[in-house]
Amino acid sequence: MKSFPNSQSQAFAAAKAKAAPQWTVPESRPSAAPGPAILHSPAALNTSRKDGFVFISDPRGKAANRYRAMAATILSGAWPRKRILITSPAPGDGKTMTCVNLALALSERGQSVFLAELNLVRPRYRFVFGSPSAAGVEAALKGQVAPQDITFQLGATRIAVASVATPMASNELLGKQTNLDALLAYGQINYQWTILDLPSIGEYPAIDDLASQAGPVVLIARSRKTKLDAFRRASAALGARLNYVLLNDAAW
Amino acid sequence: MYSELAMLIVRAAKDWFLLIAQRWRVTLPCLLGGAVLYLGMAALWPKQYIGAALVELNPSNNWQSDVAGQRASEAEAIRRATAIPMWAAVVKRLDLSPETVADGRLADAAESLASQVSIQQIDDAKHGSPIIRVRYAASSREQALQVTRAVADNLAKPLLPITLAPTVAVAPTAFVAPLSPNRVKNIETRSLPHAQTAGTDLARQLQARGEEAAKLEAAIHENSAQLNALQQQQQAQMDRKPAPAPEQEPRVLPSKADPQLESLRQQLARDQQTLAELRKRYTDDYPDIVAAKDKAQDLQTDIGRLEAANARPAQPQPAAPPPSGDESARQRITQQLNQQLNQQLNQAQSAQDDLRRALERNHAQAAHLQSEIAASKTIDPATAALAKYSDTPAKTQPDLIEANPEIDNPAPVNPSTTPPNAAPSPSPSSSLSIAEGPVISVSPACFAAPLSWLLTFVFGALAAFAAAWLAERRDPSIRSEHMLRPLLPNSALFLGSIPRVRHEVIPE
Repeated sequence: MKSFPNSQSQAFAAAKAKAAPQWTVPESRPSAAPGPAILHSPAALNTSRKDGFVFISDPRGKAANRYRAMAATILSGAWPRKRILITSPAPGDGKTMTCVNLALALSERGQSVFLAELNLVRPRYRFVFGSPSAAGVEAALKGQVAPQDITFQLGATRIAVASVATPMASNELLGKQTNLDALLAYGQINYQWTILDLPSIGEYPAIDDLASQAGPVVLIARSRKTKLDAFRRASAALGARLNYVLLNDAAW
Repeated sequence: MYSELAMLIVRAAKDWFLLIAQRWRVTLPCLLGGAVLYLGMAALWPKQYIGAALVELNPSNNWQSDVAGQRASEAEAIRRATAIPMWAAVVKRLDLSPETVADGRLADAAESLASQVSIQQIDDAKHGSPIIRVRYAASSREQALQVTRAVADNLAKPLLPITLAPTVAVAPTAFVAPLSPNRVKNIETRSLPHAQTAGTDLARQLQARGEEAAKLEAAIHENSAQLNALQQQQQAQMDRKPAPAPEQEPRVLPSKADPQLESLRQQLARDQQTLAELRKRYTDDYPDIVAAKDKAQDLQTDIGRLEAANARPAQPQPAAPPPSGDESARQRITQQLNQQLNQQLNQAQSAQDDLRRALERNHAQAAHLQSEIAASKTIDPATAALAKYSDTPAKTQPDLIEANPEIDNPAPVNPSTTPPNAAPSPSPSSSLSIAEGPVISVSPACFAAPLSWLLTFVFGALAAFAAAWLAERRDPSIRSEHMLRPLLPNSALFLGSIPRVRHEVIPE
């Protein structure tokens, strides 16, 4: 059996030192993360290191600490479901970065996380983690494959990722409630927290149904990008189900 | 307190820097546009160029007066003493008012220029002696520079004494006899009262003219005697013609160099040296240079004429007539002697004519100087000089200098050593000197060259700041937590803000 790095911090340190990636295929999954583990390529790891994943690039930085505080806030709440729904008023507000960093923050606190990419039109995980396989979330939503077949483990972390393999023309598959419920049930059963990376409200207005089944609903805005009117519309669409608002790129 | 203030300033500067960096698509064109706009405005804005020069009064000339009023009036005295001739010369030389001058109102143009040029005495601790500042404003940089330079040069340039013309200067060596004491005495008594009362160098010049006139008259007198002697000799030669040829030896001309020719050559060398020195300071169009060139040309002409005249007598003398007493040989000798005599007569006549012309010029200059001295003695010298100048087409001092190409060895002469209300200067020999050459400044000062570039950048930066502020104000996007909080529904909490993390944009 090929070994993982001994600890997550060692993995971060190794990544920061730009050493050769040591992620390997585990022979047995972690107990909290059943299902197939899929290796993401070293190139994808390098990409992630350059992205805004602060737990890899700057784990002691201000941004990482903010994510830790947010994770603590979320963990301190009493939620009917441990399902975090993350959306934004418009594309490009930083949903993917927030999802991954929040998952890493939760993982750092010992929580296992199932990170599901549900943005079928503009999937991003394949650029971050690499293409998982021929089948992705879209195949699971079509009922072609089981959820565990599209899930891969993110290294030694307690994070499992289900990403989209092939972009779709629309997000209509999210309306197939049965398959979506199967995917969500898989995450809920096997992981402590499920993070749903949804399309923006502008891209998928029928997000209210998903929000009604979620725990904390987080709306992401991005400084100097998200328009006030778009934010008002998104806030009105979510209504009372909106629990948190996060502002990205608040440099000054 | 100060640290907080410094922090506020640093934070504001950082905010503005980030704002501009964030809005660079707007601020960069505005920065360039603002700079171009300022440069265009600087090019199109009506500007005035102010030329200023400092002329120093020589302290050894008793310019410093203990009476404050006298000090203040020294500059004005210089202005009045030099007013009309100098302004008129500047107007003519620089062609400042061509229409006015074409109408024959040169004096009006000169007066207008005089009213535009400021000549003030200033206190400058850097200089030990009083300083006169010459200022002139014009819409053209070149005009301001030229007028200021011309006025300063005219103030600092000594009035050149007029000496004998080259032809005249040569003549005394051959023909001039010593001056008679009575003649010298008469000249001095005619000139000295003016010199004493006016106390200016105009009087000194007039005195010099008188002395030169005396020399010229004496030279004419001596030349006339020589001419008469030659004519008598010629007549005697003609009377002896029918008689048998006497045993007369042919007149042997001196074999050594002609002293006239040598003097002319020396004069020409000095003039060429002076011309070379003047060319270092002025262009070829400067009147002094033109005059010096004319003078050198005249000298060369005279030298050529004298050389031609000397060449024929210097030819080998014909062989002596044969002792056999051949009549034809005696006739040839007689003809040669007559030719030599005629040449000497022509030379003497030419010198006589030159002397008379030089004397006429000298009289004209002396008359002009006398009129100027008389004008300077009136209550309002400038007005009197202006009226005199307007009435008579007399030449100005620079014009006189230009008209006389025989100027040589300029001696420093002060144009105005005595203010109207001050005592006559006992030592008017010192001159004014330019302490600081013409300096051109631009009004408005913001369009001056060094400041213009700085203000161009500042103007562009201000435009960039304004554009950034306007863009920020009109930006409909969320920029801070404070803008976000009022929009939150009651059920929502602000989870936090994530500082900007530099990361690559995930490709599509």
